[in-house]
Amino acid sequence: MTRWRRFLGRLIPMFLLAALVAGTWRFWPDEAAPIAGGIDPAVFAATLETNAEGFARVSPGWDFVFPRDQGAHPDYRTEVWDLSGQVVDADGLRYGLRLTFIRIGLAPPTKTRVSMLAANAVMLARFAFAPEDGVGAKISQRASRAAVGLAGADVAPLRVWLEDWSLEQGADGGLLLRAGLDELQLTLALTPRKDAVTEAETQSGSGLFASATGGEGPSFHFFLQPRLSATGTLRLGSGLRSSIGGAAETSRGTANEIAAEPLDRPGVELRDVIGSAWLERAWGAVPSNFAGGRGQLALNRFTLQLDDNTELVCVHLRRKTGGGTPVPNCLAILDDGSSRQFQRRQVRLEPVESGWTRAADGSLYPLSWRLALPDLGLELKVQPLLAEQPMSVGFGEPSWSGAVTLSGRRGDDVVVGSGRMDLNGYAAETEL
Amino acid sequence: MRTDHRLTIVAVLTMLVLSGCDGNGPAEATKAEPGVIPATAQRPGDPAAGYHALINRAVVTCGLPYRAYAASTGNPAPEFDLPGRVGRNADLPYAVTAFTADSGVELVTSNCLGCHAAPLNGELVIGLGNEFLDLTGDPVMAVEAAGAFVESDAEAVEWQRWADRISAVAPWAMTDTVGANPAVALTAALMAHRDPKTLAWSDEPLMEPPPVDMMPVSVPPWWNVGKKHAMFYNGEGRGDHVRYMILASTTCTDSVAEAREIDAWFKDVRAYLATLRAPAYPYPIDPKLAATGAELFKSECKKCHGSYGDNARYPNKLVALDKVGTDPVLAEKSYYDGERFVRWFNASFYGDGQSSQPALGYVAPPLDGVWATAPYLHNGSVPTLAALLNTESRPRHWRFDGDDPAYNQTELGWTYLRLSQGREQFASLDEQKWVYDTTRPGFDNQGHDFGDVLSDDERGALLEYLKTL
Repeated sequence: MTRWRRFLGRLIPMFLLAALVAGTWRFWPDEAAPIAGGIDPAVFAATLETNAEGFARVSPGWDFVFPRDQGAHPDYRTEVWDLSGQVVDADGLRYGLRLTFIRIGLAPPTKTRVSMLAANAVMLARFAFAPEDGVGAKISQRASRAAVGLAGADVAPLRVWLEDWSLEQGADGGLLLRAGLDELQLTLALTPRKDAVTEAETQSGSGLFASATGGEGPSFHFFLQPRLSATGTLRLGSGLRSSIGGAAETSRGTANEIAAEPLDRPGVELRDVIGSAWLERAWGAVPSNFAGGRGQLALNRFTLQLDDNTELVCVHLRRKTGGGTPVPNCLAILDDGSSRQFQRRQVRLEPVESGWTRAADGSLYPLSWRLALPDLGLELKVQPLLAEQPMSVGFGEPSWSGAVTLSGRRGDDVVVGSGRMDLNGYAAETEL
Repeated sequence: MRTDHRLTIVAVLTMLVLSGCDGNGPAEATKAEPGVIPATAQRPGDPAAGYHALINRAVVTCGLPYRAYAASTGNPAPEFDLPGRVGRNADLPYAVTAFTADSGVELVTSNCLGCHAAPLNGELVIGLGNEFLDLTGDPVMAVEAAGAFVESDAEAVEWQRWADRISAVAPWAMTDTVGANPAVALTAALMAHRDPKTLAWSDEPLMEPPPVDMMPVSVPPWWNVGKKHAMFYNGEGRGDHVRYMILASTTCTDSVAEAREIDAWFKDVRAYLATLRAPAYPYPIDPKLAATGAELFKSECKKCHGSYGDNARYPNKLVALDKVGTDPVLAEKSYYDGERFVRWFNASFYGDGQSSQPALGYVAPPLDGVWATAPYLHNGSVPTLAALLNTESRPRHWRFDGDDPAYNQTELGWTYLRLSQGREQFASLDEQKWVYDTTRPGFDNQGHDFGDVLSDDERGALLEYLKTL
């Protein structure tokens, strides 16, 4: 291995794997805000006055076993369950959603205490909900000490919950999601359509996910469940969708929870929804302060699901101050479940419009992108489901995160799809 | 280990001495004819000072801030003892050099040894070309990603300068085959970004850059510097060799004053290089067989390659393409398509008083230490000396036997595998990059068929003699 490759082996996984939870680290309870310069779980954990010693450290070669690894890993200090997706109701209205749980261990489990609950931890969670018309868009964040009945993460079978938000293993090997917020109740059955993509698979070969051997890799293990079909019910309380502008309120990020506008009609509406989702999982030591970039670099991320059963995870690295040569890279998970990496020269990924200015802080975000992977004959346009999304709420350095739709071609075929886009480093004082 | 061969970027930046520039002036682009290359007096220098400078001074004067280097690489310890390295350099791998920029930021940059030194039997041999360099990685990704470890504003300025330069010439810095060195096109690409008069850098090319088609070259050994009257395979580097050598600095040398400063100390480096001698063959030699081979050498090889031993003589012959018959692409491109680079060179500080003369031929090199310099021919297309002496035995597609192959004492070269097909048989780029495909333009392995007239026994005797050089 050349030293340069060793360097990449050290660097690239850090970005790419961190990118799998990029944005996740921003989901901290409002009470901690505002903190300039970005908040990260390392800082948060430090405030808990716990001792990181005694927790297991990540080493290469984790033997992934499912569904075991869906469940909690309390030997490791931090852990993330991050589920994103989009569903459509019978009227064709599309909703973006994201439910994230983070466990931060307060003390390593002792040998004498045998528990299936990853107790002695703090649980954090965030639920974002974004109808494409922006009406009734919501976001909420919660925190609680792990305790039976209140919040926790089970080792097996998977069950992670915080109050009435939960993600658990279903009877059929799938997952069950429940999340409520005021008048909104979402219940989804999630069925895996592809095998999980593990860190070992994404690190094979050359380039993007360069080998992370020798203890120089990321400080956490991760896997991606790239495609889950979603069916369920959306329960909408009266008035929930009667107010316009909820998303804009939400994105200012000043309220812990954006409450629904006053009810203007009675009754409850049940809507059947179907769609697609994906789950990102990580556990290990908390990487500090690089969710959206590090040093001179900022990182954008695209997690995309195409209707031809292909998924793409693309990362776009660029200089915060502008200039230089942006470096896009993609991992494609193909129809047969195999994965393939595309490096800079095989990827075209660039904004196609001047951008959208967030009124709250004047930041200019390029929300429309063009992505081309010539080797796959693929050309896509990526557009936001709506510009002002509640998923965009962050702390510290502003970011944009939200549901996107895809349209384009693969060879002679029309392809469409959906996904999530995370844009970082576009704070008002930085250049595009 | 042979393949643990330094940073890609290091090599990219340090192989520039293999220039493809040609000509002697805009109006009088001198070209040479095959034949004997006349000697040119070289400026004297202090070999001891030259060695010290070679291993401690930065010829490439931009780089990655040291703190970012240390954080991103884990600051690996030197793998070989390089006597005389001082200060920070004593703790760095041999292929990189630390220095402090005018801004006060300590930088780490590449040096000449990335290409011109290589491990041999567990020891680093200065002057042995590194034929295992892997330049197939994307330098843009590497240098841009390094920005993740750059923190202060002053460091950011230095990093951006370095990254911008490398990104500008990245298409010419990459190869697709391990061991293939793209120095010729890279040097020309750098010229395209500089004003020849002021040497000021332009992010946009000031003239048409060279084609990105690969013209692979093998890295020639330094220990022949003292014998050769001209630099480069086509013998075009005539005149003061130092001026050609310091083209290695054109990635970052932004003024004539800076070039002049480098030129002043590099004459000592050249003087040191002229003192280098080839390593001795480390395995048994059959003296009787070698003596038989010596007689064959006199009759078959001496005329072009010279004589060795007590009455050594090297004729400095440039052999016409139609006579040597080896891949003509390198010589022809310089001769026919290099006019704008001729003009650039001759108009620049580097060409001041120089007479660069491309020719339609290749220099028959000195054969000192030839056993150690596999693979052979200017493009590294023939894996062993045995194959060089027998055109029928040359593999059409081949690769080294692993990334740290054993030395083959029968065939004289690094053990290789003969492949039935080219790159297409391998799915991954990691496999493909090891395949040397002699059917590609510039990669051809034919020519130099002078050994075909010999019997197997005669070739065996000749090989035995070559071990003694």
